[in-house]
Amino acid sequence: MGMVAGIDIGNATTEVALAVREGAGMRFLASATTPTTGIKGTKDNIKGVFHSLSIALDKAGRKLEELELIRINEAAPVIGDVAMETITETIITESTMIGHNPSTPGGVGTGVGITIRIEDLGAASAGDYVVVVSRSHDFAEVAATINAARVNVTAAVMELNDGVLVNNRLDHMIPIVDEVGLIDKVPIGMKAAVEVAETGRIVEVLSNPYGIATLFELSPEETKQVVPLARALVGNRSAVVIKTPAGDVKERRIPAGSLTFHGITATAATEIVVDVDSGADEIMQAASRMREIHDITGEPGTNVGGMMEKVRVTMGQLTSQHPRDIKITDMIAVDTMTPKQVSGGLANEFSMENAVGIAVMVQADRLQMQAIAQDIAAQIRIPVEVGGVEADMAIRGALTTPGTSAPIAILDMGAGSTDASVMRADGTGVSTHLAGAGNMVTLMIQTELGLDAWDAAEDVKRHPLAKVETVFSIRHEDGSVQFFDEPLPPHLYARVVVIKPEEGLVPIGVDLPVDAIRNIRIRAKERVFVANAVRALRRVSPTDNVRDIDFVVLVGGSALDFEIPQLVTKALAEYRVVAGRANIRGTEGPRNAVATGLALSWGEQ
Amino acid sequence: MPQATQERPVIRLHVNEHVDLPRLRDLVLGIEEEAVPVFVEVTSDGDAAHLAHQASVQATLEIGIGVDTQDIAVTTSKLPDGAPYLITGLNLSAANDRNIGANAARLVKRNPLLPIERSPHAGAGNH
Repeated sequence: MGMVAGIDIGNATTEVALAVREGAGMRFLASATTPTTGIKGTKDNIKGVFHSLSIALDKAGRKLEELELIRINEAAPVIGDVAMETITETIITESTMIGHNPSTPGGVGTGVGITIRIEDLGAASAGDYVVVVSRSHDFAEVAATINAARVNVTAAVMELNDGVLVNNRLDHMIPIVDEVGLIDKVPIGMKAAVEVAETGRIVEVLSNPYGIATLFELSPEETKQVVPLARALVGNRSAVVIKTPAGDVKERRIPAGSLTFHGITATAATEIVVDVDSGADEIMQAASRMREIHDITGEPGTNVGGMMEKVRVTMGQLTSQHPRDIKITDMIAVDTMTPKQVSGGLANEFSMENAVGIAVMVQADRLQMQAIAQDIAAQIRIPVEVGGVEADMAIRGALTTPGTSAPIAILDMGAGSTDASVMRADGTGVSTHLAGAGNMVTLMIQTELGLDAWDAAEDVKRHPLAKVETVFSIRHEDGSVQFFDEPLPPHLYARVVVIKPEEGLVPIGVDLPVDAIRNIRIRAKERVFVANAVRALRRVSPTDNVRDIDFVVLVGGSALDFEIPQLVTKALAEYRVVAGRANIRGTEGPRNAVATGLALSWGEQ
Repeated sequence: MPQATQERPVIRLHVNEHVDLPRLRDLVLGIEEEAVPVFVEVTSDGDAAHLAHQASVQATLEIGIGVDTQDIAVTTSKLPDGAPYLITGLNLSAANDRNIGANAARLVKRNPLLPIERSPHAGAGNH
């Protein structure tokens, strides 16, 4: 019979390649891909193996009994994890800033005065006032009260979305900031400034420290203190600043702590300590000075210490080891920005804070592949063997891509880690596992867009964007316009959506232009995948030089992404390396490399 | 019939003559807060969906609102008569009236829409 099934149990999918011996080589009959059942390397996988195998046999029109041998992969014992921590925080004490963007503020211009409740306006002594209006007042009454006031009303701050309605009924136009949720917290009897820019423009006075200094007659020392406040107001169409005696806006730097790399450099076994505050570049430089990393630890009692501890606990649970015994053998760090709600704010103000994201990789115990093999064999009475190292099998499979030859490297970019292997012209090879892959990209997208749900960030990562422009049309992120026969649902109107193959248009709930979201997505992919591609190839290259590898093929789940392969191709072209998405056996795309390799290597025995 | 081009850009609100005009207060305020001009016309019989269609075809901004004694409908001139883009009950709440008024203006401005209640009367409600 001479029929063999190569089966690759991966983190996400279980893949089968079915082949028969024909002359000196192998002829492939069918392939199959199904979701992996359970966590990779556990007996829960067997259900998925049978499912995938029966699909492949059906496609080939063969029976299970005709199989001579099943070969399953020796899985790489690595698991990755990701974490993100903000390292700055903006705090408002005594409520001095309202820097939000109501969609329709009223009036235009800048007004300065003492804050006063509208109820008290009648009894006020002469002077300039900013009226504070709670939701219990109707817009018509507010307008009438301001028109009748004997004192000079220069601006208004309102709880309801009535700014335009009030302004339309005033004798003299004033700037009005509305939709201020916590109106009761606005301090009364304090000097305040309100600015509303014209449509399409942003505040210019209150986003400028000297503008604030001019309005409030600040000393040079006080002017220094309003910088975080001015910074937080940049880009808003409207803003309120209130000066209270003790009030302040502070940018607090959270002590992030330091990381210690334990390992071997080019010369000796050593430890390198690096401060997380100094940024991702410094951390990655420290990592690259190590030839071999044995463990990475965080300073106890600090943010990064807590982050690393969390990773150890999670990894300990997944691999049933004590957190103490978990060794972190690689790390990738990236600097990022994240929108955070300002603590002490009055109207849901957000401020962009610095954050650092890390992905780590942990060596796990040998997975239970041998036990899985025995279980399968017992159930179907066909011999099952664990066939060779996963990376070697992947290379054998990858070499079936038309246009490739040794020396060749494969980049297997999954969800948790980036694995690279190289096969030299003489057939010998080496492989490496690096932290950071698809999950790190998702985390960066989630952080930078301030998304609550992981799934929403996954959607942004995986699918192209579009903007619903009219009731019948969308504009894709590349600028092309698509028309629909039926009107698009109202909840999608004028929103940015991702285009999913099955569900269609899904709104992403982020109020940013398509280009801004697209840039965040591409930058996240470049900073993880392009950086890791170069890092991985340098490690497997015999001379630490990426240029010594002629061919690089991309396999694994992330190679199916609509733009990651192009980004890597473009980046590696600078090193004169041919890099692209694999096409296993000329038909399978980047899938089925390991399963194909497993079947092929039996043929060569 | 489209109006002469010299008319200033407006959306149109066609209201059935059986509706008491004070009931339109919050609907019109919703449009005003969004700073889009509206032209109101009282017409003879017709339901909200039909009046909205009629209004949209005549409005220079191609957005029309129709109001009968039960419903408020909003539509664009590109949709067929009887299939309005948005429909909700009249005076379900002040906030709901304001939101659908704002939505008519937002269709012109191409801004995302506010949530509105499903109409308790019409079969084909949105949201």
